[in-house]
Parts: sequence; structure tokens; C-alpha cells
Amino acid sequence: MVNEAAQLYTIEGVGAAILMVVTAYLVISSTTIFTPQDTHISDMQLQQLGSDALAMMDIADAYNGKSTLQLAIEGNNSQMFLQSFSRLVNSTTTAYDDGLKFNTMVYYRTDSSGIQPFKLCNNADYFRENAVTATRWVYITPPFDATLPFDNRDQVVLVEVLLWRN
Amino acid sequence: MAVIGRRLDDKAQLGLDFIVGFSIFILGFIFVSMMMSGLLVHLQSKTIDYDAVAYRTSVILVEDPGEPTDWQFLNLQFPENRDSLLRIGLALEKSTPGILNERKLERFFLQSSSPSCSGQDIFCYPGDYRNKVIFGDYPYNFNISLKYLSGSEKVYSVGPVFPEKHGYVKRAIKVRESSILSIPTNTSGTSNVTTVHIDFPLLYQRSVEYRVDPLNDELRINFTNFSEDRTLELLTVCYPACTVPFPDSPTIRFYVNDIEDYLSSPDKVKINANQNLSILIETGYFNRIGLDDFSKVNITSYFSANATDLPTYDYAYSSPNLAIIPPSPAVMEVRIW
Repeated sequence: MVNEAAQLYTIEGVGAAILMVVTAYLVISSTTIFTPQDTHISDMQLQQLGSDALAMMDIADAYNGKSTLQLAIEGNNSQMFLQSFSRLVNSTTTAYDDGLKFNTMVYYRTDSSGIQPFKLCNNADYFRENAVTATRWVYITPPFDATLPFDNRDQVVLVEVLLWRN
Repeated sequence: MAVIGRRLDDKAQLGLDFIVGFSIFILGFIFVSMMMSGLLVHLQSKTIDYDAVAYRTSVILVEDPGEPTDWQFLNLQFPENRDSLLRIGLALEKSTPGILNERKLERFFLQSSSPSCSGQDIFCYPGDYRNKVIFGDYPYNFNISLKYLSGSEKVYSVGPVFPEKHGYVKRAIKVRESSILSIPTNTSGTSNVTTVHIDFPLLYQRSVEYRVDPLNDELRINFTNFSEDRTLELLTVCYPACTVPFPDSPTIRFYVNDIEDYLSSPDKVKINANQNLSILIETGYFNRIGLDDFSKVNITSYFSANATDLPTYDYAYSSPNLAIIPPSPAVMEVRIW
């Protein structure tokens, strides 16, 4: 059976090679779900920035004074919140601005109806972009703007900002 | 002599089955490798590492006062001082993350343009930054920048132009500003000797973010709008022993309409009509003369003729002449590659 001419006399070598390749291909293409691992980094960056901005807005300009965040909530002043928050999150050290968008809700508790949401600021419509939330508890004191549904007492409300890159 | 059974070996031949099998395997391997590299492009750890280092650096800078916490007063001309600075943080205190000390900020961004900086009171670039802020065994490149969002929108930066791909984090911060005592002048007033009294314990009663901090911030005393020519002939600092300003920093400086003048000059500090005199007590001056937060000090200005209505003014929160500038909002960007 074996002679001097070059010949393919065992099918096992070819079969094994094909088997290995097919196995490797199947393993890689079918069972591995690749998730880009740096997605959470950009989420974390946005969340950190949002938390920073809320914290800085909650620092009063003067000793025993009220912070911008307190004043914006107590006065239902969405424009004040929008300008202040947008300046902090969208400014860069270069000439360019980040295109970050945000919506802001305030969660408060009333004696009669429990926890209720209240929309403080609608910077842009949200269409299921990849967004993060940043929150901060804020202490507010009367007098409140007449349009606000809060009970007329000192209270702590939760400010929640939904933040996303446009 | 014929060797039975060794015929194939004599001709150094390779079986075709081996060649075909090996070729298919290698081709398949190359194909799979190419596909793998495409799939793994998002899994490269470098960017993630850079982002993590950028975040860590920002936390050290923004939320930590550094080690030692009053490192801004270290004279880096001396190697032992440079060695004793373990970590550069810019925060006022651990309890006030995000609120930065202006003096630390200015020192941080003041760096030597060459790696050799021995004998200079500035940071070595890039060595000090890598060893005291960024850390890590890998010699990361960095660009750290800060921009005020109010006033003149000052921008500070350290590091070269950054490439397109880099780790990045941006932080929103505030910088505590200094204070100004404005004393209205009255050349037909009663006093040619004006004393500014500073009671440190009273100033240190307030929480740190709203504090007038003579030991950590510069103080400024403005004599505004002289209606006639006057000369500041002498200035003494008594605590209670009296001294005069040092010739070198940190000291007390004099500005007439924002132009520096010196008591040591022949005509002293000359102020013409309608001009303002600004006395700047530099950060670290009170530390230099050995004061602490229990000290009381009198800064007395001797004018050539009557200049103010009252002989004494208080550098105190209750003083109507004291203006405390609110903390300035700013953003800091850290880029690592």
C-alpha cells in the first residue's frame, strides 16, 4: 500500500485539523458574550460629575446663607437650576462645551399622600439614551414658592438628576 | 549493505497528509486569530487602566488635602522638604471634599520646565507629579487642567498636549477665595496712624469653607480713594512684639493702583490723590513670624498725614468693611495616557 509517490494515506490528520478549527470557531462565536468592559467607566464618570455638580450647587456662597440648589428648589426656579447645573457639567477647560443633557426630579413626602415626584427642570427630552442618575438629599425651609406642592415645613427632599451625553 | 526498513527516511520526505493537515490548521488558526483580535478590541485593558488612574488622580487632588495637609508652606528648595511631601492634595480639609485651597492650587500648577529642579521652590516636572499624585509603576503621561467658571475664567494647566486616546475624568469643584478689608480714607480725618486688628480665634470659629483664614490664605487691606497725596512711611506688625515686613516672600506687599511699591524705596510708598493703596499679606507670612490660630495681631500703618476717620479697624466678620469673596466654581480635567 505504501509506495514512493507522495500520498494522503491517513484521513485522521485532516480530520483532526478540521475538528480543531471548527471547535475553536464554535467556542468563540457561540458561547462568548463580549461586553465592552469600559462602558461602566464612562457611566461612572458621568455619575461622578453629576454628583460633584449637585454637591457644589449645595454649597452656599455666604456663611449661614442658602445654596443655589436650596434656592432653586424652594423658589421652583428651573432656570436657576438649569444655568447653574449646566455650567458645572458642560464647562471644560478648553473652549468647547460638553453636550450633556439632563432632567431633574425632586422627590418629597407629604403628610397626606406619601412620597411624590415633582419635575424641577426639563433640559431636554429623554429618548432612552444611555443615561445615569445622580442624587442628593437637600434640606429646604419655607417659605416655598406658591406653585410648589410641598408641605409648609422644614424638610429634606431628594433631588435626582438624569444625565446623559447627547 | 542494504538497510531493511529505512527506505522512507533516506529521502527526507514529508507526508502529504501532514502538510495538508498542518496547512488547514494554520489557516484556521490565522482566521480565528484575526476574528479574535476584532472581537477583543474593546477588551484592551489600557484605556480602562488609564480611566481608572485618571479617576484616582482626581480623587487625590479634589478630595484630599495632601500629606502633610499644610504642604503648601514647604520650601521645596530643600530636598528634605520635597521628600517629606508624600501626596499632593488640593482640598482645604478632608471634611470638605471638592473645595480647594487657592494657595495649594497655585503651587500645584507652578512647575519647573525641566526635569532638573533641585534648589528651586517649585515642583519637578514630571517626576514630582508622577511620584506624589499619579503614583503607579508605569510612567504615565498626564495633562491636568483647571478653569475658573467665574470672574476672569483663569485657566491653569500642567502637562503636554494630549493624544486622542486617553483616560479622562472631569470634576466640578469650588475654590475658596480670600477676603478684603476696605477702609475708606479721609484725608481730613483724625488719624494718621491706622491699626488693623486681627483676632485669629474669632476668625477660626467658622467652618473652614467660609472662614477667613490668615494662616492659609492671603489677606488684603485696601485704603480706597485718597483725596490728597499721602505717603505710607512705615508699617509694623505687633503680636505683641513688633516687626516690619521681610524683604522676601512670604511677606507684606504694597500696591498703589495695582502697581507694586516698596517701603524700602527712597520716597517710601507714595500715594497720589485719587489713588488706592492695597496692602497684601501673603499666604504663609503669619506662619513665618510664628503665629497660630490663637494669636492676635495688630498691623499698623503710619501715614505722612491724616488718612482715616478711625484709628482702629477690625479684620472681623462683624466688620462692615470686610468683604468675603464666595467660593469660585471651577472644573478640573485629568487626562492620563
